[in-house]
Amino acid sequence: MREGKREPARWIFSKELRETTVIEENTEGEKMRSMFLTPLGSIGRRILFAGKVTNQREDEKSIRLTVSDPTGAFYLSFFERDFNQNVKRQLEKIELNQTVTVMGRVSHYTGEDGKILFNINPELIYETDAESMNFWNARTAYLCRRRIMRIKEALKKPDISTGVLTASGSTEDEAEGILKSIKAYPNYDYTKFEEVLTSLLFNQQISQNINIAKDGILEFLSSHVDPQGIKYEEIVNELLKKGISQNEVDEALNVLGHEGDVFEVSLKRYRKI
Amino acid sequence: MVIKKIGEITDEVQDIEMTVKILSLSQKERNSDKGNSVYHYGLLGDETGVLPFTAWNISSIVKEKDVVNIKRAYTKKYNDKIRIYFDDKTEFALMPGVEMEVKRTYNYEKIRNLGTGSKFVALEGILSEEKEREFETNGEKRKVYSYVMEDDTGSIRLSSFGRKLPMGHGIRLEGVKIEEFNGRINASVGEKAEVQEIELQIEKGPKFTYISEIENPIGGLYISGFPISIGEKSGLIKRCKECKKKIDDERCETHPDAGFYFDIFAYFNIDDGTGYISVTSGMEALKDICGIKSDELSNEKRPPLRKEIYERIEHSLMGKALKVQGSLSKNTMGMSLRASLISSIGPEDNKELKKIMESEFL
Repeated sequence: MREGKREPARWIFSKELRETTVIEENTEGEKMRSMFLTPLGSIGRRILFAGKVTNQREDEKSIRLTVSDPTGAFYLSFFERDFNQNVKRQLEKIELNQTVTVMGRVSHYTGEDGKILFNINPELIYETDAESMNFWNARTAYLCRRRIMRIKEALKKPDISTGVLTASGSTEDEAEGILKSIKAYPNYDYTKFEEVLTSLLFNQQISQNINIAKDGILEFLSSHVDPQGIKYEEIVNELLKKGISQNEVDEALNVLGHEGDVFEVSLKRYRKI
Repeated sequence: MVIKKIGEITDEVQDIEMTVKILSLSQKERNSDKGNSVYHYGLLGDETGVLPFTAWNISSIVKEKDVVNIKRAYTKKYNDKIRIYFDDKTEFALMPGVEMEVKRTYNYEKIRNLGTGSKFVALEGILSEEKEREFETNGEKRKVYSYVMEDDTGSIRLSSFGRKLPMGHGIRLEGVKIEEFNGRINASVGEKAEVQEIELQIEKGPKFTYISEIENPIGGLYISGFPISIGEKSGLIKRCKECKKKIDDERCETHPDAGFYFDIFAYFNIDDGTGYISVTSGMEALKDICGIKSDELSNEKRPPLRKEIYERIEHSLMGKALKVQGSLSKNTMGMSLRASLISSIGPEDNKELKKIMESEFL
């Protein structure tokens, strides 16, 4: 939808960008445009990601951030000379350990060892929440898996065209990226990437269930007020009805206690604060 | 040459003879390197069915409703559907006085696939939200009933002229006219359209779609993604108390004495990883996520401040994963989604979306 009017933002994990070794150079009029081509077939100059701010440095001329997703880190730089005051204002609100959503332009340079390194020039950066992070992780993992699945299908048919790929559900630019990446990365090990995705989705499932358990416990404790506290067994039985295991309830109670939302009145009896 | 009935034509065939009734005949200009030319297109049929045709060349004696014997026609697939073609070798002979009862056949379409390509189709779905209206035609008063028709891919507005339709359970409608009006797909049926009650299980509510899969301006959808820009003119707006239209000044040009009231409005682009689309939203869609109450807007002691409202909307939307429900419409800028509800993605939404995504890999 509306591809071509505005340059699309690719949703990719830092691992996909980090393992990119191909830059396509195209001339458009008098301008030279360089686009990254990742091993999983994402082509572009702009990305969108969510992660946690793990490093922050600021001097007179620039603000630099490291934002980590479950597979590694993105490096962001904003220079005073860029003069985008709106982005600057957004950046100034960001603090260490906050979770953020970022959309930015990707620039690259080649290190002394010949390796291509990437830097993100933020166009938009906002604080985000845990569920938005979960959403981004799940959707990005889905898009990666979809591309890997189609790359594997394409590898079985050497004469496959973009037409065949679009007929089987790929968007046009996805199909183009897939075919280009197959040529550009003939020896890429997709299995390793899939293993990372599997473990990410497994961990996310656990954390998602804990979030659902947290909401369920708070709702249950709000509707069952008892100064003596509600019995642990009652909470477990209630949450079991919602498909949440006892282990997940235990973990959620620990988190809620740590966050100060639930108080253990006496042994194994809980009350909402 | 093979003589064919319309109902027998299922594949690409050369050199056909047929006797048919011309049901519709339109013309279109074509610009090519060789200059401008005109071609004709329409529908033709016989006792066994109806097919569309394209005539690169057609005898000027042929008009709508004529029964014609046609020789040296051929068929080809266009957009994966069979179509009859006439060229300069095709011969036409009018058959005056011959009556032909045409069997109308309609292709069944899902609501999601309703473009303006097929003018008459068969639809299956469940109707709701009946509204009755009276109108006058040729000095005679008639009734039109409008509904929302929903299937498992989306919803559209459907008008039924002169006839109440059954609501709340599955129906199949044959001969539904599909048109685009005000950038939206609308469906309508006349009194002669065939209505059949059928067994149909549909999960009510908006249907998930990826932005890259959006093709036609239908309703009853939801998308999920991150806003990537917010319009500068989003926020507080003034509306005329009389006509409710947005006013840029203190007064409405049409109703200068009516006064105004405050309302909120936002437009933004949202990206779901497969593409992006623009979203427009009013108070109803925004009030919960932004926490803005109607009382705040009508508080005369402390009138709302433009900057403050903009910042509250920006803070509620930007950086967050959102679920946006609504209806699509097409304008000169492309497709946009008119939001009926905007909410933050929560644990249950993530669970549901994950289930949808996982189903692709099973």
